[in-house]
Amino acid sequence: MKKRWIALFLAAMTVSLAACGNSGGSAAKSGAPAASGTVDSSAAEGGSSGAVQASADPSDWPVIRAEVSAFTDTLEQKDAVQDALNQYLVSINAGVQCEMVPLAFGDRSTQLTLMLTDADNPIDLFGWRFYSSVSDLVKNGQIISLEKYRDVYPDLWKLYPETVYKTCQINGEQYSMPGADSFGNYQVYALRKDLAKEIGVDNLAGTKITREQYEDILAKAEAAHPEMAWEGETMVWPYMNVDNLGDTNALGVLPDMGVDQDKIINYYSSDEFKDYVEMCKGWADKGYIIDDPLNTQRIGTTLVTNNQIGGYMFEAYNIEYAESLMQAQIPDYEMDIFQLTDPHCTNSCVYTGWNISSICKNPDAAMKLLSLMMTDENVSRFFTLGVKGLTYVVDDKGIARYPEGKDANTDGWNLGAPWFYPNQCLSIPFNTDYTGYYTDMKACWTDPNMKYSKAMGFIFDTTPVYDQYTACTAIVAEYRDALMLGQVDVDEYLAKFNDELNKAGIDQVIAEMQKQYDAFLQENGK
Amino acid sequence: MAGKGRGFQVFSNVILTILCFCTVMPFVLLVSSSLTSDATIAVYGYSFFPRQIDTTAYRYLFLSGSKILKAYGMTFLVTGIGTTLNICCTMAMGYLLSKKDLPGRAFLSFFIFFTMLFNGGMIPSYIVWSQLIKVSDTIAGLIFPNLMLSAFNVILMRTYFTTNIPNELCEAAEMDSDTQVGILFHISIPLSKPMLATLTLFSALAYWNDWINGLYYLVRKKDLYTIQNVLNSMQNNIQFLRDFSSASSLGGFAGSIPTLSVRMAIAVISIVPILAIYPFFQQYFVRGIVIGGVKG
Repeated sequence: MKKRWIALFLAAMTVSLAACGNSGGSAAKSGAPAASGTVDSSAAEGGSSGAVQASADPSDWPVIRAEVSAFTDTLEQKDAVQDALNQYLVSINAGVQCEMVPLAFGDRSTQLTLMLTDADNPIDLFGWRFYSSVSDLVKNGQIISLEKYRDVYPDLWKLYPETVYKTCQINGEQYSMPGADSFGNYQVYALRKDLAKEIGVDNLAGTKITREQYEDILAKAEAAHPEMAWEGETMVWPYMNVDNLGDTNALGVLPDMGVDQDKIINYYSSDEFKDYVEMCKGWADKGYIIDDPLNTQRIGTTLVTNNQIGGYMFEAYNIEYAESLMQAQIPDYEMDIFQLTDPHCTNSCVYTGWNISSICKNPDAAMKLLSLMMTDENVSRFFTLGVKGLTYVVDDKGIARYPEGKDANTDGWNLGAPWFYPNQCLSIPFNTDYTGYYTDMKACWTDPNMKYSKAMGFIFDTTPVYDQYTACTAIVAEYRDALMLGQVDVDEYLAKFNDELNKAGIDQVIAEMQKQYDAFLQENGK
Repeated sequence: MAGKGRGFQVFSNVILTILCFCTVMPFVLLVSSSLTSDATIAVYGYSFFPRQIDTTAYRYLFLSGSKILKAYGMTFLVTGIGTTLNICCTMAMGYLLSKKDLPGRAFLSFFIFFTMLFNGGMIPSYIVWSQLIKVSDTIAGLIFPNLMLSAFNVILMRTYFTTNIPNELCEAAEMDSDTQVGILFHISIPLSKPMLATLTLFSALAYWNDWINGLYYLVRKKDLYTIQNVLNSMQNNIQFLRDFSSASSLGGFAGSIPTLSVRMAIAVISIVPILAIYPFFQQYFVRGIVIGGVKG
């Protein structure tokens, strides 16, 4: 009797657990939008032509999941924007439908990693910016080659300078489509206009200034307002005049922004780096850098708004762009812009690329949607701006604005990240007075004065020196910020930093990097 | 002897006071920060007593934060359902395992204990829950993975049943023709209140504070987020901004993130219910854990 009851208990527990699982499943089915469409197994195996044949009934079209940028956990207008996009896709007989998947930047890394393993609910189209790099995605088998689509969508390979496409190629194969940007930047310093006037440097605004003039501005500003600091964020690479080869760890770099450079050097052991960190230390001692920067949220816009700093450095492709950025980001103050360096283009200037995941069930349809995002301004604007009249309005200058009574927190769509998508230049400027925002950006692509690094397209494969590389990156994380923000004694810490890097094997990393770079130069006839 | 005892008393009181201070002060700082304006924090830093009380953050939450209130409601719902399920399963499993004549008892006990030492890791677990059991984008995703059954709780429950319910009582009930279910409900459960209260608190705390399940399993249904998910997402976004602060295009997003005092206020309101119920559970909690621990 007792055993029978116990057996019954066991059975009941098993059934209840199984029922729990099933109820979850059915809820998932009823709550989730349509799954990822028709499975084209031939396409997945590489047997298709790559083109999409649209069937007569749009409900049969494959649904491609594309990620959407967000800075909050929900985008309230997602369904409305998605419906409008899909209606438009039907109107042009695209043969593909889209499910938009908003991922908040902070959660994105974890969620994208999981979604890239989920063959039942795959993410089909996504960008690598702030997540990974083309080489790592290929190494992990997370994305597919787009080479077979070169003949189907040849125009996609003619949008940008050829060298830009190379940055998203591995062994000559295109794995990712670069996202439109200026592809070349210089360093600027933004200083509050009222303070610039007060210390008498407003006449230099909008011009290129020397390092001495820059330091003079900082000294005058500090003398007038010792309660404030003048540098908020981490120092940015272009001011160091090196090409870090697309790796912010910068274990090996090309001097002179990589222009006509063949030899990779250990920047951290160079006199230039020592000069740089000594300058930073000097600035910190003089009060130019915020207090306790290693434990402070170093976001220039917030620090300026809170009156903690009067100015900071960032990258821009021209003065007007920098001004418009400031206008949108720091509405409380007008800012003067000073150009610090010359424009250059390195691997790091290609900020994003869009990929088709390797678990995508219909890569042909995904490529079709990607091509529309890159070439059709209506499709592009659904992603960058949402629905006209609902999430944005256009003023008489042709600038997109929030609708009446809406702001970043209440709009329900993320209008502030057009750069996240494959071709922001198809959008219209948002929340700025700078009408040439995108036309001037596109003009950079054909600017004869733009200097390109010789290493454009070079991607270092860390596999042969993985252990040394990993050890070195941990050391960089431990020492570099403290040095670059002037928080430690330069002689003592720089020596320790280099000593540990040497012990970890930085020379082997650089030797391997040089070997691969030489092969790259030879392959590309440079 | 009496002097020695008093010395020990004083010593332990001092130590416990210091530990208590260390535990309470972060909460004081949290509440104080939630009542301080961002500008004051930026200029003067954090302080244990607000220089000037500013309730803007709370007003923001209660007037414009329908999302916050919804998330708060989700937390209550998930905690309620999850804790009930957890206690039912834990109790049933603990009771079964306490029966010495259960077929395969040793194997089942080892099987459960094994999960305390090893697990499949993030991605395999995700694949099982999302592809096999299909909890993604449903409230089930917040309830079933990780939290619905804890091996530790099952072992505590089993040990309690084995060591605190006199076998003679169960045998007497059997002789009176009571069923196993009857014995469980008429004898074992009434005698296990301290342990049940302890496990209820453990489980409720785990559900209340969980943000992992939402992050993993609610990728496309974020309107089901709990308060901890909302807070965690904000925190992740801030960390992201900090990590990529040199990307000039990101500067504009600082305005999209709730201010520091709002984040602190969310943290305060998220811990208030737990603080409120804790004293009521404490007497059972202490008894239950002592009995379960000593006799286990």
